Amino acid sequence: MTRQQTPVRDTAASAGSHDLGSLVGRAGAALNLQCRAAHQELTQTQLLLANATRKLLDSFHAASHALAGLSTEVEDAATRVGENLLAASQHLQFSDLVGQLLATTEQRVDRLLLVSQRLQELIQALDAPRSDAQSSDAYAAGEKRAFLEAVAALESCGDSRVKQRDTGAGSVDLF
Amino acid sequence: MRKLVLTVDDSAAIREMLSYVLKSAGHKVIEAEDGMDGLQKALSRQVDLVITDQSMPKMDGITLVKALRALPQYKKVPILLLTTESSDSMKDEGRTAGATGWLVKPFDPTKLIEVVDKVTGGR
Repeated sequence: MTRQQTPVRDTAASAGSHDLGSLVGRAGAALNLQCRAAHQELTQTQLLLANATRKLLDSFHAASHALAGLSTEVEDAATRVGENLLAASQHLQFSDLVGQLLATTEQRVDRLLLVSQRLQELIQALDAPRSDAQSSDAYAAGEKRAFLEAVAALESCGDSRVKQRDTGAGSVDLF
Repeated sequence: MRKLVLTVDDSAAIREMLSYVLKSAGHKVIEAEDGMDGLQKALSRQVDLVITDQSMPKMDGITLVKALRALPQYKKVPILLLTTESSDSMKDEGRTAGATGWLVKPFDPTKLIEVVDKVTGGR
């Protein structure tokens, strides 16, 4: 997924040139894009969790089974326990992957919420009764700027660094 | 041969898994929770190998590699980056900084021990 990055300074400077319709349209597109990304990341998180949980359970059940055989074949059982715990140590790394995915999603959702909040503030400013036209326009321009800065921050949300879809071992490159 | 390994990662789970695997292979381990902490621990005690994450608060892994390579006592000490990052551009950046290798998480415990032995000249 590609996301456009809009410098905040440029966005703020162009605030006065947008009408409400185009602002709302742009916000809607950004909200849609980021919501879809958040949905994909959550689906990926669920896949990682399900995969790792299954493998952890398998490893621990195997370790438990091997321990039960200690009275008759101590050395063989200890070896099997060690092997299974090593296997578990690979799949337990899912918590780091999931933690990073959730942190990215949390940031994305925080920015979605900020856009939503600024949009509401902007609409309130535009709908406010106009007793003093000049100060009212200045107030609305300030709200537009704040809104566009929030949209720019949302648009700059990057993809998560985590591409893994299971807890299979990653690559090794020695230079 | 037993080595002293410094592991640097802001994830407690990864530090624990690394310690478990390295200790099970007979190595001694010092843990650090970010690049800055790792640099301080590397300065306070000479280690035989550094295994570091890339994305961390305070100081990232590649910055840590550069900082260590600038120290005479760490010019030739192997440094492995262990990270979720798998892009070629990041790997190139790591290589240019002076890293010895790039491992993508999750790590295979058996493979990790093989790599540790290889880069430290052990076994």
